Amino acid sequence: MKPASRRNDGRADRRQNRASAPNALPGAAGADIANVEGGGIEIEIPARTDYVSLVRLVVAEVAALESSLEPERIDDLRVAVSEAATNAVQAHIRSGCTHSVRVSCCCIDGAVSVRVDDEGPGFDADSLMKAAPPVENPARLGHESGMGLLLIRHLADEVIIDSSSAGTKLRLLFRTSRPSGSR
Amino acid sequence: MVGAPELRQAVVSAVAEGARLVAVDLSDLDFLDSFGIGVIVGALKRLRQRGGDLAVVCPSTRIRRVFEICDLDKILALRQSVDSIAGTALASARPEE
Repeated sequence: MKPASRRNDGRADRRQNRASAPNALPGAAGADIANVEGGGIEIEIPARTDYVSLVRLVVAEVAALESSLEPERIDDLRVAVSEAATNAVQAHIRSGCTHSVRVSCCCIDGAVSVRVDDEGPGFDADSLMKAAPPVENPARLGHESGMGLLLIRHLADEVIIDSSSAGTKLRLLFRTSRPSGSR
Repeated sequence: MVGAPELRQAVVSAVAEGARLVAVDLSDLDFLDSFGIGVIVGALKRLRQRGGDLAVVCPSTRIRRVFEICDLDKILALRQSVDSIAGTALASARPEE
């Protein structure tokens, strides 16, 4: 079994690793779950919105089991992971991509790290963040979507978005101890 | 108890039937994400366009925090309990995850 950090290579390599992982288990209803060395999991889900609740359940349980993240931070993790998985699934649905969305969660070095990888068409995070008018502007009520990235960036301690036309890799970091005066 | 899509439909139906003051009770809600937020914003917009308003019963600090991050606590009334809005003619819907 490969540690999670060694699965950050090209997509073809990652798939090869997954296929050869001895502990890869066929999960319920199409989900594919493998253990990650050092306390964590990898999961592949079909690009369907009804799998998002499974992702947030599994990731939150792993964080609770393997880290000392406080309960309220695990709640934050649930929301952020849910938003990230929803964005990834929606990217596949909109682009017609039938491949799985990959989510990994590992707990190392005082932090919970979550990766959500999709093969959607990518997006410009900065322009998305600027899309919604200020809340005091009545036009804000015309924006019923687009809050997901805002929530992710606010809730996670660190967010790294690597997005291109070949897909998006989103990494969230939740530290188990936060500096005083932080959110 | 309804989910977010059903909540959206419940508000649409209530407005179509003439309701202008609607309360959404999130007391039993375990989880709220941006999809649910979008439904709430849509309900607020639909009501305000007709001179009405929306009250959201949200005693959970965890759920309330999602509204606050999106700044929506500044434009809609978050209430602690259904009792706090008693006396107002309200149609209600209770969503669940």
